[in-house]
Amino acid sequence: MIASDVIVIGSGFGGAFAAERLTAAGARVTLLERGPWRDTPSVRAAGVGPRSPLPRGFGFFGRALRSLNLPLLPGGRLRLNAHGLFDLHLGREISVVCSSGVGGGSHVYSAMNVRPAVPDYWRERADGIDTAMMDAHYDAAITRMGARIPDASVPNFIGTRLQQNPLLRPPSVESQPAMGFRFESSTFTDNSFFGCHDGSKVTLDSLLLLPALARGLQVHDLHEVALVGPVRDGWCVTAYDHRAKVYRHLTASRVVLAAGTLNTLRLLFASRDAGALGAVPALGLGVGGNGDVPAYWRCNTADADYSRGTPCHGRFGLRDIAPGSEDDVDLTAYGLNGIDGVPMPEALRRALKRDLILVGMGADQANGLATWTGGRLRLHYSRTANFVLARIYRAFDRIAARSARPVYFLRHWPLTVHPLGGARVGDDPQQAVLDGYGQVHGVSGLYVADAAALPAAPGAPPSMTVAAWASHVAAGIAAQG
Amino acid sequence: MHMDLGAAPGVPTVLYTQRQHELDTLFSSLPTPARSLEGCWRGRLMAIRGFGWLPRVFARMLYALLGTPLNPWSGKSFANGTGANRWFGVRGAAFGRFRVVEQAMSPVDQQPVVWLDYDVPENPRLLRHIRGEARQLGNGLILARMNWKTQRGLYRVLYFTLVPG
Ligand SMILES: Cc1cc2nc3c(=O)[nH]c(=O)nc-3n(C[C@H](O)[C@H](O)[C@H](O)COP(=O)(O)OP(=O)(O)OC[C@H]3O[C@@H](n4cnc5c(N)ncnc54)[C@H](O)[C@@H]3O)c2cc1C
Repeated sequence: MIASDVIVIGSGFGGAFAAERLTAAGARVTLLERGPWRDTPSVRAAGVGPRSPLPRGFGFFGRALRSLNLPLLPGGRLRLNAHGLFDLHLGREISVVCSSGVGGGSHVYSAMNVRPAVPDYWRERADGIDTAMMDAHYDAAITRMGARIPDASVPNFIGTRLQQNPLLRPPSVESQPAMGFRFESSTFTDNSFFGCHDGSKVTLDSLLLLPALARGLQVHDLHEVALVGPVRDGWCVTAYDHRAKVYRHLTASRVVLAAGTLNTLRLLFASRDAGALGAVPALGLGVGGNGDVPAYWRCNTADADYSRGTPCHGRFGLRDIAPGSEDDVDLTAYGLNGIDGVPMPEALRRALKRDLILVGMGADQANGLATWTGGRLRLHYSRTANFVLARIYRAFDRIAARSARPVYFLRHWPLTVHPLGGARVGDDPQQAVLDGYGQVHGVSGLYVADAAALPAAPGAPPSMTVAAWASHVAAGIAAQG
Repeated sequence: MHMDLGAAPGVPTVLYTQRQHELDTLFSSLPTPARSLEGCWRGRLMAIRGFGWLPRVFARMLYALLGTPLNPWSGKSFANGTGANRWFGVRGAAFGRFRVVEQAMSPVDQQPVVWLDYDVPENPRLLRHIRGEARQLGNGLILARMNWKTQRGLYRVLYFTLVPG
């Protein structure tokens, strides 16, 4: 039995920011992460191990997928490889992609470090949160990530590349998203969806967790938490150690859930089912996908190699849509970054490098519902009740029509990389799971520090909102001593 | 801590895949039940001694099977400091009686426990070797352990859960 002051579950933007901050405040923190340490340059240099390689070359297909969640599968889930990078949750109403490994989403994300598009996002959400305080947490997180806006020298940066495009309009360079990226040392290849091979993308394992190890943070990788419940002196967390192939039970006076929206919801539902939490009537309310619509634009730009550059090439709009009008949606473009590491015929690779991935995003209504039946998580999400999706579909249709190049997207099947809500913050326990300090209403010592806590869609990439929230939760715990 | 729960809790499936020594650690950390055990409780068996070699997936299948009516043991009932095992239904035949000691100290891990002592005159001689221990996993969810007493000490036989039946 390992005892600590705080157990943090998950090491993504919620878990890593919370664990680092609590460790800095002097707490004995144990962090449990279901995925492995990744074999990135900084982790290798720090001598932390064993490490698992990122998916590349012949091992690509075996290492890319961790698990597949499908309602039809027995048990709802098929675990393919505990070292795999991605989790796919395929649902009838919305599907979700998320990742696994020490550092969580920071390995696969596109490095955009921005504030919510929704103005005054945190205003009047709950007692204990105020905008000025959250602003300070955003400032600290963005500074910590070293985020800045790319300049003209970055390959394929949209701020410069689209200047002459008759169809697409880049907004001013200043309104391009800042990125947590080491521009000076980057090779501008292979730094995005499949992890970053040259250390140029700022990931949370190297930025926060390695330094915190030196200050006493305990990180147990390949420890997948299955159950959380109250015990005599606080909380007990049951985790399966994939390396030793044993279950471990760890105790602490406080537990911070940060396993990513879907997995945090799974843990909360499972623990509620076991009678460990009380009724938690609002659990599952307010699920959203941040209005994500990913698309594939077969633009086939002659001589282009869009796989080079930063993980995201930047933000753009359409020239014939007035900025600020209802149809002016937030669009971002990406190359098939990392494709050099995926085994495929060379001709196909060259063709794919000339195409772009587009992602439309915006504040959806976050009015979905997560339910739990027979140990399976189901997400209910209405495409039509989340109006921003239709606007993004129209934008993609316009791009296809004007460019005379197809834009493929799933019009009837929302897919998000930004799942949020389900354990949202608010003062009313009938409507919200968490109080303004991130503690489950009426359940002392259990906190949520990840995207499940978000009370609404930020309408922009949410990593910094999650980081700011986690910093706020950790500051509250640290203040209690 | 808020502990009102309407429906009977579900037994987390993760319990069925654990070995005895793994459940020992969890069991040691649990509190005793918040309220006295009264009425009928539905039982599920797990972590049976001698089956630790079974791959987890098969262990889970075995214990799922033992949770069906194929297994005549259905649970336990409690009344006024005594109790009985129930067979062929949670309100079925009572056989294997015990005395309940609410505030005992476990001789296994020296932590507070509800002690179920089978050394009562109603039981056949063989059953009198059994000693049970119960603690609370969640509101309305009891994790319990069955031990076998010999002159040389207590041996863990199996774990089981109880939920209101
Ligand atoms: C392809 C892609 C691109 C993205 N690009 C951007 C971007 O550019 N900017 C942006 O702001 N956001 C981006 N995002 C979203 C961003 O990554 C997430 O919003 C963010 O990671 C959420 O943080 P989190 O802490 O909630 O969860 P995560 O970062 O997903 O962390 C959760 C961690 O918990 C672990 N875990 C899960 N279950 C368990 C368990 N049972 N036991 C132990 N550990 C567990 C997981 O393995 C994971 O490491 C992107 C996401 C994807 C998938």
